[in-house]
Amino acid sequence: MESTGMTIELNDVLSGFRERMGKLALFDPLFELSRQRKTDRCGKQVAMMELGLLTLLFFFEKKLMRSRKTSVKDLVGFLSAVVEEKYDLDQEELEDIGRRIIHVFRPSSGRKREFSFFHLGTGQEEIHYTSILRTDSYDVASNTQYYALDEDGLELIFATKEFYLEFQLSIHQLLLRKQLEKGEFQGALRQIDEMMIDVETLQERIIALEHEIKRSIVSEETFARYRSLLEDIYLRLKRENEEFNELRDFVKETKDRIYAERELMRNRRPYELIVRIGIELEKVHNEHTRLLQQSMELESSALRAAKESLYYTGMNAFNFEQDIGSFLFGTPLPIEAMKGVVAPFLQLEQVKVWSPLTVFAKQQLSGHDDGSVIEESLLALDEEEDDSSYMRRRKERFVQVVEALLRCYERLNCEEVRLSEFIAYLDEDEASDLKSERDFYDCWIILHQRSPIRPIMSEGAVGESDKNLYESITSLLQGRSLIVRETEGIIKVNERYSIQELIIRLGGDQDELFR
Amino acid sequence: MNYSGDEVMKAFRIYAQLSRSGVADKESLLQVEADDHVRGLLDQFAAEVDCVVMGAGDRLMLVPLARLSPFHITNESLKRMYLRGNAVNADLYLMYVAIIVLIGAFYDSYQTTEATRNFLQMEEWMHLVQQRINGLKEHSAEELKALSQEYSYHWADIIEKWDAMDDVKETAKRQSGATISRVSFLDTVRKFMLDQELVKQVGPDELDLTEKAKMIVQRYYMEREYNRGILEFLYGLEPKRKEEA
Repeated sequence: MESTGMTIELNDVLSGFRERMGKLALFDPLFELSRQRKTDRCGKQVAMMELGLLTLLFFFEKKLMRSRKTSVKDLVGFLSAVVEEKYDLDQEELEDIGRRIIHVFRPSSGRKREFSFFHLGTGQEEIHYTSILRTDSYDVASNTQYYALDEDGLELIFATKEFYLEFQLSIHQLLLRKQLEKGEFQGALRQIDEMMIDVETLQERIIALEHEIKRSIVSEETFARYRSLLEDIYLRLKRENEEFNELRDFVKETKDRIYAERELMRNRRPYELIVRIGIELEKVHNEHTRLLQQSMELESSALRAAKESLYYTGMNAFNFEQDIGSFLFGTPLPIEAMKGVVAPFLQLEQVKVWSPLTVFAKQQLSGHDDGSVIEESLLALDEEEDDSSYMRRRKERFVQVVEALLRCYERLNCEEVRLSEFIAYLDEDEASDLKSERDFYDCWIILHQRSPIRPIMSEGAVGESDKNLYESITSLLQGRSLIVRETEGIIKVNERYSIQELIIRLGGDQDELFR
Repeated sequence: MNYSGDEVMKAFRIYAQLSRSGVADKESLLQVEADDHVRGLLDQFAAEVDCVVMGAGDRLMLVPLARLSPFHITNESLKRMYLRGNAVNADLYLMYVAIIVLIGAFYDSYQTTEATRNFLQMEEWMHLVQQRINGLKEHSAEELKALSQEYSYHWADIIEKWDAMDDVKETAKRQSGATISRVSFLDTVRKFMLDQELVKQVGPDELDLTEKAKMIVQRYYMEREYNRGILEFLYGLEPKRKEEA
C-alpha cells in the first residue's frame, strides 16, 4: 500500500487522550438520565436529561446565592414549579424524579461515578472517576441531607456553556469590564458573584491538591506533574491578579466619573451600584490574593514532599480490599493477623502508672486539673522563666527602695535614719505607695540580713543569683556602704504590716563598718 | 556512628512529642530534614517500639508497624475504652473485621491509588461485613479451629458472634448504644473510628475516611518497603498447607 507523504505521529494525536475522555465522562450522567424511562399520568415521556441539567443549574444558582442548605425537598419544590404546566405529575412522582436525579449525580452506594474507557495509547482499560454532587452538611434534627455542586459538577455546567473552568475567571473578568463599559451595573454585580465562585472553586482545588500531595508518595514523574500544575496555577493566578488590579482602577475611574455627575437624577442609582461593585470586587480580589499566597506555600511544601519521597518508593498498584482483606479473610489467616493489620491506624498504648516516689518529687503547682503531666522540659523552662521574672521584679523593687532612701538622706541631710523616719518621709516622696506593698518589707528584712552592704563584696559572700541584685544596689550607693541594724520597738505601718524598727546608716568609708 | 549529645536530645524531644500524640510539628520536621543524624536516631527510636516515622506534609507522623507488638495498644485497653463492659475478645476481633472491611471498601481498585468512593453507607458497610462472614463460613468449622490452636479465639467465635446478632433490634427505640444488634455494633465501631480520627461523618448514615487514614494507606501500605513488611507479616502467619498436603 502506498501511504500518503505525511506520517501521522500517533503519540501527538493521542496526547491528552485521557483528559479528553475525562471531559466526555462529565456528560455521562446526563445521558444515563436520558436513558431512564419515566412517564407522567397521561403517559407522556418525562424529559429526564433536561431535568438533570436543570437540577445542575438549580444547584449552581444556589451556589451563586451562597445558600448552603439545599435539600431534595428544595429541588423538588423548584422542579414542580417548572414542570407544573407541562406534565401531569403528583407530588410523590416529582419527589421520585428529584431523588432519581440526585441518585445519578451522586450514587447512593457512595462510589464515585466510574467511566471506563479503552486507552488506545497504552492499550489498557482505564477508569475515570467523576463526582458531580457532594453532600454539604446534614441536619440531625430533621434528618435532612443537604447537597452542593462538586468540582466536576461545576465543570459540567461550564462545559455546557462552551468554556472550561481554567479560563472561567479570566472570562468573567473580561465580561465584567465589558459590562462596566456599557453601564450594565446590575449584570456586573452578578458577574462578580460568579467570580467569587471561581475563586472558591480554585481554593477548594488547591486544598485538594495539597491533601493529595501530602498523602501520596510522590515519584519523580508525579512530582514533575505536580510542579507543572502548580506553576500553571501560579501563572494563572498572577495573570488574574494583574487583571484584578486593572479592573480596580477601571471601577475607580467609572466611579469618579459618575460621582462628578451625581447631581443628575438618573445617575443616583448607578452610583450606588458602582460603589457596591467596588466593594464586592475588592472582596473577591482579597480572596484571590490569599490564593496567590497559598499557591506559593503549596509549591514549597510540594518541594519538601518530593524531597522526602527520595526515601520512599511508592507502589504502582495496591488494592487494600484484595491485597489485605481478601488475603486475610479468604485464606483465612489466624485472627491475630487482623490486629497486626489494623495496628497502623491505631494509637500507641499509653500506660498510666503512678510511682510512689512521686511523693518526694518537687511538687508541681501548675498542673492541669485533669491530672495530665506537663512535659518535663517545658516545666523546667517555665520555672526558669518564673524565676527570672521574680528576680527582675525584686530587683526593681530594691532599686526603688534604695533610691527613695537616698532621697530621704539628702532631704534630712544626715547619714543615719530610723526606718520609722524613712516611712514617715515616704509620705512626701514620689514613691509613697511603696510601703503599702509587701515587697517593701521583704526588702528590709533582706537588707538587714545581708547588712553591711559594702561597695565591693568579698568573693563567695554572695550567691550567684543575688549577684545581679547587689550590683544594682552598690552602683546606686556609689562607693558608700549601707548598714542596717535592728533596734527596739515595732513599727505598725498600717493595718496589714508591722515591722521591727531599724537603724539605717549610710557609711562613707569602709572603716566605719567595723566600729 | 558517633552522635553528639545535642543530636540525641533533639531526636528524643521529637520522639517524645510523637509518642504522646502520634504527630509532631513542622519545626520537628524541619529538624529531621536538616540533620540526617537526627533522622537516623529518630528512626531507631521508633523502630525500638515497632513504629515508623513518616513525614506527612508539614508534620511528622508516628505509625505503628503492621505486626504484633507489645508496644501497640492492647486488646484490654481497647475493650475498656470503646466496647461494652462485658465485651470479650470476639467482640474486639469482630471490630477489626469491620475496620478492615471499611478501609477495603475505599481502596478496592488497582486502577488508582486514590480512594474510589466518597463515602460509605452504614447499610452497605453491614452488607460488606456480611459478605466476608459468609466467605468465612465456606471453610469448615474444623479447618477454622485448626488454624489458630495456640490462641484461645477462633474465626468460628467471630462468625457465631455476628450471626447471633439481629440486623436491628426491633424492640429497641434507638439503634445505637447498648442494644445488641448489627447496626448498633457497627455504630460502636463507627464511634471508635471517629474517636481515632479515622473516619468522618458526612451524612446521617454516611462515613468518609479522614486525611489521616488516607495518609496511612497511601504512604504506609503503598510504600514498597513497608508493603513488603506487611505481606511478610501476613505470609508468616499463613498456615503451612503445602507441607501438610
